[in-house]
Amino acid sequence: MEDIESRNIANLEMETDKKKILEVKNLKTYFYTEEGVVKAVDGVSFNMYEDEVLGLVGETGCGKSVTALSILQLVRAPGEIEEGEVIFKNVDLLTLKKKKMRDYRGKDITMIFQDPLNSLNPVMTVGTQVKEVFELHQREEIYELLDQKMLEWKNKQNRIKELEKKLEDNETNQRLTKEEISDIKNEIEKLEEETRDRPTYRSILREKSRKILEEVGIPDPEEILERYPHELSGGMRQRVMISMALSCNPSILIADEPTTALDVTIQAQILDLMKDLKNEYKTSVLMITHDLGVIAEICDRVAVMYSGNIVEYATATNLFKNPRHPYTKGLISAIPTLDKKKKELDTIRGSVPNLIYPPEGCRFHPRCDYRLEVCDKVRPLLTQIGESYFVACHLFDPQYKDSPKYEWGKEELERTRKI
Amino acid sequence: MSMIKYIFRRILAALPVLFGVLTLTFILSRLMPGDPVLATLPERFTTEQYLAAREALGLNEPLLNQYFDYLSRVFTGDWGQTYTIAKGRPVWDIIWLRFPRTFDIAIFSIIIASIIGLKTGVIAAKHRNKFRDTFFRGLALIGVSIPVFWLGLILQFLFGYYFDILPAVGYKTSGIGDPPVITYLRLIDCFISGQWYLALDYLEHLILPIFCLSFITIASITRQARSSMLEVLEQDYIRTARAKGAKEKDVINTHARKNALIPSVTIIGLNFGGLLAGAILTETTFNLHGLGDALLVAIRYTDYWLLNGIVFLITIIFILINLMLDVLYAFLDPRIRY
Amino acid sequence: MRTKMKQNTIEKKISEEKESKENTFKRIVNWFISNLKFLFIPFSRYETLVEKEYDYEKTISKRLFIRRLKSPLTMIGILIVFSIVTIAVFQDWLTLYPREWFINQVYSGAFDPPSAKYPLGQTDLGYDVFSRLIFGARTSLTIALPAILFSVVFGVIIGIIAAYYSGPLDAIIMRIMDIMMAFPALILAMVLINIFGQKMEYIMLAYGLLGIPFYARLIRGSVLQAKSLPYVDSARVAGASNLRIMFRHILPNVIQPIIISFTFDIGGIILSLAGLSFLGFHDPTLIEWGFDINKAAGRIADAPWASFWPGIMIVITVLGFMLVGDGLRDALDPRLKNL
Repeated sequence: MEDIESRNIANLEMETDKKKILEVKNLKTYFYTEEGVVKAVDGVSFNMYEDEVLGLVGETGCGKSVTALSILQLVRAPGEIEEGEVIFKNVDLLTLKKKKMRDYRGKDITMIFQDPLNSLNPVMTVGTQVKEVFELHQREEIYELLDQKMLEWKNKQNRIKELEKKLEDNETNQRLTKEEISDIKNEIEKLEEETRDRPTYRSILREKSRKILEEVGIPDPEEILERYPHELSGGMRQRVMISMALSCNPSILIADEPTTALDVTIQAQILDLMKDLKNEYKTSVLMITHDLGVIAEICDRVAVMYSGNIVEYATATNLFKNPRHPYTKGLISAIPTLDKKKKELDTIRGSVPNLIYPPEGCRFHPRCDYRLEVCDKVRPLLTQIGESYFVACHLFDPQYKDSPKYEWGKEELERTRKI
Repeated sequence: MSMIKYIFRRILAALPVLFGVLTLTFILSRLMPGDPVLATLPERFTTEQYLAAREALGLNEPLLNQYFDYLSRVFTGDWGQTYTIAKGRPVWDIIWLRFPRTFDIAIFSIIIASIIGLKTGVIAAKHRNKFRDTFFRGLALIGVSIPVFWLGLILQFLFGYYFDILPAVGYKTSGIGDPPVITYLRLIDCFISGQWYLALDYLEHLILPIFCLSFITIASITRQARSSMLEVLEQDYIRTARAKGAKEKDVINTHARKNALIPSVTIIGLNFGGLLAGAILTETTFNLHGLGDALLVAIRYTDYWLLNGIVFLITIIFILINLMLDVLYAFLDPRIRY
Repeated sequence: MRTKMKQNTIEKKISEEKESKENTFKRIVNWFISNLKFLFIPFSRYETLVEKEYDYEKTISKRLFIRRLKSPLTMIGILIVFSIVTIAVFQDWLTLYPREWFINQVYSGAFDPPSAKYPLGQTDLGYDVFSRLIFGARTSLTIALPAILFSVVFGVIIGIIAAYYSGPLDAIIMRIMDIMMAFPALILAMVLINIFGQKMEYIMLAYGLLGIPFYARLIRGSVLQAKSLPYVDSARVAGASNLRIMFRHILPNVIQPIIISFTFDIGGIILSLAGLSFLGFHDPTLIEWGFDINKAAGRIADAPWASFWPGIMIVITVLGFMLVGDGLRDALDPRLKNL
């Protein structure tokens, strides 16, 4: 069992010329509740490549968010990361000390959350919260910038003094023409205007925050900086969240259902914004969502999760063109469209399995229409079946080619349908 | 500007409550058994004397007239005379003489308790289910279960008699003088008149009562602060702060603390009545001759004016404190609209 | 023939009834065994659960609740409350001296230290401290419980009505509650007891009245929130009367904080009652811990036992209720239920 799994992980390479930026290997996060151990993430592996969007899709409670939180090690109390590796730029993040890990958070790997109202601190102004990121991760840069600005400022001040001296000299020897005098006066005025405020640490912070807010399309950022989160609209809040996440130019942005809590029109805006920013900042994005529409719109690669496992991992175009795993098939056919206005929507029968006592073998087998006899006995592993295409299903495993199909009894069908 | 308007509105809203309390006190005091006239008369008296005394107290008027008379007197500052504690002295005088001692222990305790209680609550929440949490939680639980007067007695026994290091009862060593009455607050009077030893003596007497009352108050504030801190730490914005890479210390101090403080402030305000009751009990236990003593006499012997005065004073303080906390609340929480 | 058939059917009916009765009884027993064993047998689970995880999910919250209650501190709390109740019920078998010994009697040996005859010492009138401790338990519980039930029932009714009908009625009711809250509770209690007279029933009544505003406010807040929820609208659409909506639909959804607060407040009330009787506002025919402390307070220097033990009893009793309240809150807290 063990060596099969390791083989499986080693093989998980996509054919691409892009550089691998994040590698998640066999990640397991369990929650130790009073009811038992909830295996929320049970051996998840995937890779992220530079300048690409990876979509992580699945039903509610399949472990998408926990996977994301595990990458940043933000899993809350009863949850613990059991094993696995999260390799970012040749460093295994899971072996890092807490202090070291903090430097990665918010700087190299950032995250935006589902509910922008609750994710912003209600008693702090937007400005304070945006500035905090700069203060945490760009202190040195800001001081450097400050030195530079101070130098410029001093130069300008010296220049003013020089020009003023020139004017004074002129009063005694009258060497300058009228035009020259007015030119000098204009320049002095301009320089004085520019040097009115001495650059300070705070003014630079402010300038930086203003810029980043402008970047995410917030009109009148000066004013927004003084506001509290509850005074903004939902879309605005999410923009503020995005600005905070992008402020340190991160390598990876994890977006945990960023559009779920928003109106449809705002959703489209935010998605467009994310697309633009991704191209501008060259950031890889891990997009977590249950909305296949979002995936189709923005993602380059897709990993489909079911009950704590990745069941299918491929490029977005391939996956939508020809989904292999029965679960993915079900998901895609469950999207309501106009031309299949049938009596009943296609749904996957049954519900998400309990994660404390997950079904034996393939976790999808109690709901699967293509179930084989082996499905409830052997757990399928993610294996390559085509170019950049991985799927965890016995249907595509040559080893079980001859395994007979499981016949669903009528009673069984009825029971699962009811639930 | 909006803040001033807000305060003004709150004061307006408090007025009916104040008025209601005044009415309630009036009704209750007239319902109390016992005849206040008897207290003003000598041991043996004639019917004429009784009637004259009754007339003098204004009890022969119709109740409604008495009520209006009472209201007008309260608002003009003439709170009547007591006829039990010190015959014929204005109630105002009695209150000023006795209230400062109750006030002293209450104010010292609430300050000490707020500072320590909020701190221990935060520490407990930070180390949830660890040793420190269990320790503070257990202590707080015992703290809210101890009757304040009993704790006072035990402290008296231990420190006053058994170890004999602190004075057990009273507010001054017998035979020691009093400072000249200037502000009525003994401590300040002592400092003004330059009698340091009196101030020290007074403080020495206050140590046990203050410790006793603050222990109880710390307990309830700790519990409150802990639970609101735990609630705040579960919030999404704390996760955001962590995702930003903030240090655990900053997460607690800058992101969580202020949010957790908001519900705590409300609870402190609501419990202020409990604190006053605790102060009265403490001060009775330690025999400080404060307001509680006067109150007991007033109720036992149906001293209308004294009772009314004390209740009125306490209510005003209660309303004022809540008003202050409301303002503080609005200051802490930007979501509150003025 | 016909009569025979009739007889047959009657017999059948009787046997059926008997059977159904037996069945009901069996069902009740089964229910008890299946639901309450979690309380008594550690780590017990439904046997069929692993196979039938569908049923498992339905029982999850009930089992969580009971399991949470099994924390050691809560267990200690339950144990304390249970013992105090036991003492209160069986007081006559537990004391060294019968109740009659403590009425209008004076014995020699005031404030004598503990001895073989009086294991915890003697009080001002030479009574046995130990026996008085045991008699005090019943007094505390019999005053506190009815008082708090009174406040809960009336507070809940008033709070629901105020919040449900809102408008002027709400304004008037809540102003009255505000006035009662602003009036210092201890003083109000003393005045009320002074007016009513120092009898147990009146002390209960006074305390019951005092607790009303607190519960009314508590429940009003949650009802105002619940009122705007869809389930209330759907009940109204279904044609439910106002009374039915208030007490069948809203009440069960908002009662939880009251249950938690109720347990804490039993402790609180016992504490306040002790304070009142310490100040002398008590029923002189009853044996109360607070008043015992009052009597012994003056002699704390040389007879600490007479005031120490009643205080310990108060602390233990209140602590018990507080622990149970803490446990209940943790178990019922909806925020902790999901991961």
